[in-house]
Amino acid sequence: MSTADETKKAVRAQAARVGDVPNECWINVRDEATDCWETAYEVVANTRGTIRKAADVLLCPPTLTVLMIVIVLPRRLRLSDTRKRDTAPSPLTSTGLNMMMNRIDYVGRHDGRRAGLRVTDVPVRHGFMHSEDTALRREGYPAWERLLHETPTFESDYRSRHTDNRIWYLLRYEDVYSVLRNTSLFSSVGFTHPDYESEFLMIPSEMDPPEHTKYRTLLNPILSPTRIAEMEPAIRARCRRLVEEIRDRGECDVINDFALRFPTVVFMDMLGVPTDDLDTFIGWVHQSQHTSHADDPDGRIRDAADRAIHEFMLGIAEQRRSDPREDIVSRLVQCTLDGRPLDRRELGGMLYLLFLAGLDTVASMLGWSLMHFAQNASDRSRICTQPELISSAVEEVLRYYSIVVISRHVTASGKAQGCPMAKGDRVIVPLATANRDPEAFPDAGRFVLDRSPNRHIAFGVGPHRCVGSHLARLELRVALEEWHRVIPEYRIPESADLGLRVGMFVTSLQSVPLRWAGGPVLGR
Amino acid sequence: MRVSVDKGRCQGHARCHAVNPDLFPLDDVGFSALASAEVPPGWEADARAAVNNCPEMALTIEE
Repeated sequence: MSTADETKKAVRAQAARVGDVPNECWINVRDEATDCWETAYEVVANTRGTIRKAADVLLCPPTLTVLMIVIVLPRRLRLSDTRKRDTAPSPLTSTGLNMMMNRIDYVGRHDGRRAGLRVTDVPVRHGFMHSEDTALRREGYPAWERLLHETPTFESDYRSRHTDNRIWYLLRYEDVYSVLRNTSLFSSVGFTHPDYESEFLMIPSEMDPPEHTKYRTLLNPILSPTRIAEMEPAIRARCRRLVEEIRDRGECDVINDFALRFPTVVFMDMLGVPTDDLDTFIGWVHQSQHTSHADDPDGRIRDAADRAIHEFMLGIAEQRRSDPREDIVSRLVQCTLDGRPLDRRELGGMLYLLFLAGLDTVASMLGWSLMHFAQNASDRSRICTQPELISSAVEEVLRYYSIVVISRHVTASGKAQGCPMAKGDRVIVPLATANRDPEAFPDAGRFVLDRSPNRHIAFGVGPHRCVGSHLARLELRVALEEWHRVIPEYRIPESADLGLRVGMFVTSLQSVPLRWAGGPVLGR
Repeated sequence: MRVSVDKGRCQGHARCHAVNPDLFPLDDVGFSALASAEVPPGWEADARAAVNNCPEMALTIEE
């Protein structure tokens, strides 16, 4: 049984190992009988100094006794209620203790219980999860910008079935850049997101180098700029047909009538499958990616769709094995890794990734693009009269309406990006905030059609850089060219609800209704 | 002016190629095939734009 002094000494040594100097020494005690990683209770520093130091608290037996009693009470007395924040703290009652921005860590032992120390001033946003945050869901990008401005780095104590570890949100460009390039400290292996558990591994995005590199090397040539450029005429023909089907209607829901159909049809062509099954494919995408936690609490719908996608893709792989063609599946089936062909799990994982990665994402970007140009007449008129600006416009849309949120887990304890991270902690890096960081982009909050340079990281950085980025850019450019060639003027009807959905990994628009002067023209 | 690429950092974004495909050729897998080159006169602005456009900061200029 150690004394308070011994505990504090041990705790200071721990802090020194990670390079921090504690200025307040609080004891955080937890009941080990529950063997639970969640904090049973926390005592935090109040910057106004109205809570006495731990030393005083510990050396006062009655207080200590009460504190112990308070601490072993069940979880429901945990002070995570934010309305308690401003009450005057008193160590004698559970409601009197003040939860604040500075939190406590577990590092030592005191009286047989775990005791700890917090040595950081990284703020905490209690219970924050981007996919559940009401402000983000309601407002989208302005809410992300506010988060970046107020707390560019913060911790979240959100917990779920799948995670008991802390979550670090890093929003600055420089931090996102560092995290994504450091694959040894920030790993993609396993459940990379607190809420996401699936039996289907995406290969190779859920791997780290060097294993990741082996599979990535097989994918790079298949989706290289040269290969993609060869596909442009066929992709343009598909796009043109889709736009012409819509043109005479005078109205459409861009997401369902065009933005999801276009990349899906392109993908089906790449697979060499008939596009009669387009609606089935789109159904799978919806079930796999768009079911909410409320609709699908066990993930059963999502898992069924994922299984269907796997079986379908592996079925195609079998066909191409005996009847190879010039398509991506044939090429993957013929690949060798370490001198042997890919096995079923590897093929399934890679094809699953290819299936999902390029549909929802491109559809969302098209939705955002057309929404932007519907609402910004001068930008729209510029790309109509100067279509050579569309390439640059695509880059700015990618920057300004970034949709991906990336998740990693920490492989080693230590200070990183200003945070005292522990092995197993989650790190979440939203690309939207990196791309709107005023320290990385002049006039970051403004859409500048011909912005140059535009070093956005909408496709990520580091080894996991989106392998489909060349295809995505081509699809976006062709779509905007073909759309504006035929429908140069359009608007969003008043009071349209775009149904913003902040997903775990991808933010999407559910609906973008557009109207234009169209309809059947006599004599045409 | 010379422009060089750090091949260890290049991840095949091809943003340099988008600025000037002749100054910044790619290999057949989409990564920079540059190594190091003398920038022809008149292409200095392109070289600078490409360097500033690389998300991996893989390009450097020597004046």
